[in-house]
Amino acid sequence: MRSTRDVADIEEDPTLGHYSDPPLLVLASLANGPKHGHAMIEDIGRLCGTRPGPGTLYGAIGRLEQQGWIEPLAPEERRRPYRITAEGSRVLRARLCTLQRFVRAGLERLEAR
Amino acid sequence: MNTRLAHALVCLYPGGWRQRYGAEFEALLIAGPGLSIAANVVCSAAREHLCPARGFDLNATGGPLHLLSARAPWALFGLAPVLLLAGAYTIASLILLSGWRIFLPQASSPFVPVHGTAILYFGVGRLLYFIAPLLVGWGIVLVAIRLRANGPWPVIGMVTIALLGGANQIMAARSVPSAMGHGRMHVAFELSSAASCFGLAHAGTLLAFTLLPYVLLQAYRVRLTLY
Repeated sequence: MRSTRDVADIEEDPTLGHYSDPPLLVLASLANGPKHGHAMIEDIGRLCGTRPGPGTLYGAIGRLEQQGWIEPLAPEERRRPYRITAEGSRVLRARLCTLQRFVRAGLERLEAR
Repeated sequence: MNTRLAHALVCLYPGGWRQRYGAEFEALLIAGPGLSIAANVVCSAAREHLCPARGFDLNATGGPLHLLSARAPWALFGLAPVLLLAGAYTIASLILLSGWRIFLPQASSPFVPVHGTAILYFGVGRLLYFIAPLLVGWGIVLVAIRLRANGPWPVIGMVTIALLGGANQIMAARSVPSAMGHGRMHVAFELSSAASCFGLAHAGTLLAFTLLPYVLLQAYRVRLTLY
């Protein structure tokens, strides 16, 4: 069973719950609509508590674009928004389903202790 | 962030990457929090040089090194490193030979204790002699990773350089046994030396220091291409 002490530990130290997988976070951020770099950083910060650095973000954007999982839109002044492609949505869904199974199994094991 | 600093940070990236993302990335940096993100950008720029995203690397679209890697990998990863190593050994030998004549005209060998300025002079030659195989080996690693060369030639080149580095010896002698004769120096590659424990250990160490970064960078590159 999950004890209140475990919950308190995570709440007292937010860094314990951070998740960092920049390409997946970028895909997840774009899942609800196109965004430019700065908006992605803010959104990812809200999603998982970790704001990726600009270098990390554009490293992930370059590789996701190369895979055809995201695509650029017309620039707005000097900022360029990106949107997720159909293939990117399919990949994101598959990875999140795997993560969901993993999370469920991990939490069940913790609660069985 | 300061506009000039942002521009300088963008300049750290490869040309192809800058053409594609430079303007929007610079705008993002200018709107960012400042120096605290500089380290993140520098590390990412280094990664783009080592493992560039496909399609944004000018070398990967027909640069001379890429063409040479595709058409004559033996020349790029085999012949060129050996020639570079030979050049480095020649320069090291010339430094030692000139130092022998300048600082030790009476000595029968340059491999004797020296003092003062001679320590620095001989030190440069010895440093070049000992690190040349490592520098050439790391050069093979960087070029192979940068060009995404997957064939056996980079490893063959590294093994060749390590064996040459482990087997070579600098020999010095005077033409007349007395101290009045002219000094001669040459680099020799002796199989007996390579077969000895010391030669093999030296070659093995050189190979480990070049092959290990190569394997790690290849693994890192494969991890990046999973996305």
